[in-house]
Amino acid sequence: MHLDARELDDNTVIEGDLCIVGAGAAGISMALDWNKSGKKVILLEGGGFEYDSEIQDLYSGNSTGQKYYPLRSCRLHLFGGTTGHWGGMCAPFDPIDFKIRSWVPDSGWPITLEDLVPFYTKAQNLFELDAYNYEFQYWQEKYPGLTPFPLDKNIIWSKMWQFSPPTRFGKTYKETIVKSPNIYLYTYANLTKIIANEEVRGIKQLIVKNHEGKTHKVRAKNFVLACGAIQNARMLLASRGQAKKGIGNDRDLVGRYFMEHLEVKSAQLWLKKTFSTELYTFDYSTRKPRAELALNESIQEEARILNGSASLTPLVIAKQQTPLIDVWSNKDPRKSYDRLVANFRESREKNDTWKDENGNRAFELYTRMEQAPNPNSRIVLSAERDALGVPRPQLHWELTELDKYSIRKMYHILGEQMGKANVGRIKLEEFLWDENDNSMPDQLGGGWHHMGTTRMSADRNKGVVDANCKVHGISNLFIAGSGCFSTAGAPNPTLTLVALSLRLSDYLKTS
Amino acid sequence: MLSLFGLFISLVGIWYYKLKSATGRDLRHPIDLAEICDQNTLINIGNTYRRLTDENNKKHLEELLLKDAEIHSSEIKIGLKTKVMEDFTTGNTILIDGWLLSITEARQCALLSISVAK
Repeated sequence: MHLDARELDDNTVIEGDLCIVGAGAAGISMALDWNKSGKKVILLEGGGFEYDSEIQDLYSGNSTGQKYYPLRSCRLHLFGGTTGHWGGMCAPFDPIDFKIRSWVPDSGWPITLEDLVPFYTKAQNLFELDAYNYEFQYWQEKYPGLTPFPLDKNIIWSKMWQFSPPTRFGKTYKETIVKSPNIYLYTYANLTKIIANEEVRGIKQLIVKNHEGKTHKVRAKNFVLACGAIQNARMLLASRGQAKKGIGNDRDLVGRYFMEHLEVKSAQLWLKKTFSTELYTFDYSTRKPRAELALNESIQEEARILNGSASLTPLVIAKQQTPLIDVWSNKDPRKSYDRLVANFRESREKNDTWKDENGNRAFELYTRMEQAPNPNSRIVLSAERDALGVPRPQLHWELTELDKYSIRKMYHILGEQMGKANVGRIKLEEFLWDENDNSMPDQLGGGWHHMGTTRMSADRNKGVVDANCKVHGISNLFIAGSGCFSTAGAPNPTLTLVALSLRLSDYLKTS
Repeated sequence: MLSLFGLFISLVGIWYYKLKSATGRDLRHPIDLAEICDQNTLINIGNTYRRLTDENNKKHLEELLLKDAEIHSSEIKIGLKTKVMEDFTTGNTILIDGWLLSITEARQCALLSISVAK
């Protein structure tokens, strides 16, 4: 069922069993999991079914520290959320991503990869992917042309990716949600405040508003914040009053540990001879799986580096491409998206020698690496307020020595392995030459992946939510999404954040 | 008799000269890297290597290459190629102008840059 909150009487009280705030990948996945469950599910979306500039503006905010994209255009504020313009790259986290690593401060999740596997399988279906299988051998049987470089398997492995069409949740699941007998979707219902009970041990109700001046109250047994890592933290921090520092923020952890993926052109790979790189190159037409070069767990431990991978793009294409951080600079997400698409398209059209049937011998190596957890990398509230009276978010994106060291070391290892196998040589980008330079270049971007601001830990002194994504100390408040990630992992977060949300959904059903 | 002896000496001399020239060519020709980088890049790598290290002397570099590779003059190409791959295995590498190279091939570039300078 769909209701437009602008058309309700002012001060309407909405009641249900479960209230999910945010209709993006996490929120819609959870709602679908409750479809026809007999429970009344309230799904709140701040925007509508179409892009609305006034609504999008509620995401505006400033950033300091490492150069970052405009916060206004990082995420889409409408039904379907950022799946409206995501790329569809999917891969699960690796086992090491969940472990405590002595060389990575604040690493370790209270759950393991095994805990997520059943939910990864379900998430695969939502994203219209193939089987939950990311083993290279499985894909090589399907596509015999996929051939890895003859590198030492004890050191380098092929990290496989699958590609969603990409599924636009706003279009694909609208009908199911709207026709559901028990899901009540309210559009133009923007959360502005979380009201706790007197002891601040549980949530009593939410206040939602819209630009038409309507204010409504939402009451439910359980509440799930699924608004994205920045907005979730922002809403907890902004709900000050009963809790001095904000809801769930007794330990001053909400908003801290903001993480992104470190994405940057890092090196060139020059092959001695042409080699079939079908395994490593992205095919726009078929979107068949591809691999990135990654280092084995034991090598990461030995080198004391973060988890990451390197993708290959023919150098003739890559040289035509502007760094993403400079492409995605418009505050209007539609304009930034158009520039992004044009950047990729034009780079392939300007010089088409990459199509040479003899193949390419030179490739750009592009890093995708987790950011080390860092409490100083954080979301705080700005003094400025949005049109609905909520303080705007302010991001301070701060990287550490370990981030830079890990990128440099990864390419040293890759370079040694390429030489050892006599496949070719690697040339590092200039920002990686000086071992004493810990700064990151301005061309470093992120993947528009916001993580860690309500991090998971079994210890309430170290995390905002517990292993079930419940806010420590609050009986009926849960967080869905990548804000719960304790560490960022190497792959894009969407598949994992949906798997984690489905696990939360399962917990709420059975607890 | 004398002329036959002279001819023999001459032939030995020519053989020795040719072998020495071939040895010199092989020492200053990083065979695998040369398939990737053009001559100018190899020379630039050699110049940078000499600047970064104190290995700036032709004879010294030749000695290092031959000694490290433990090779005989007849097997120089194979020996150096093997040594380069060993360098990558053991981490005996250096970053020059961004290139992650084996020390052996960097020294070969250094020799090349000296010969070109002369």
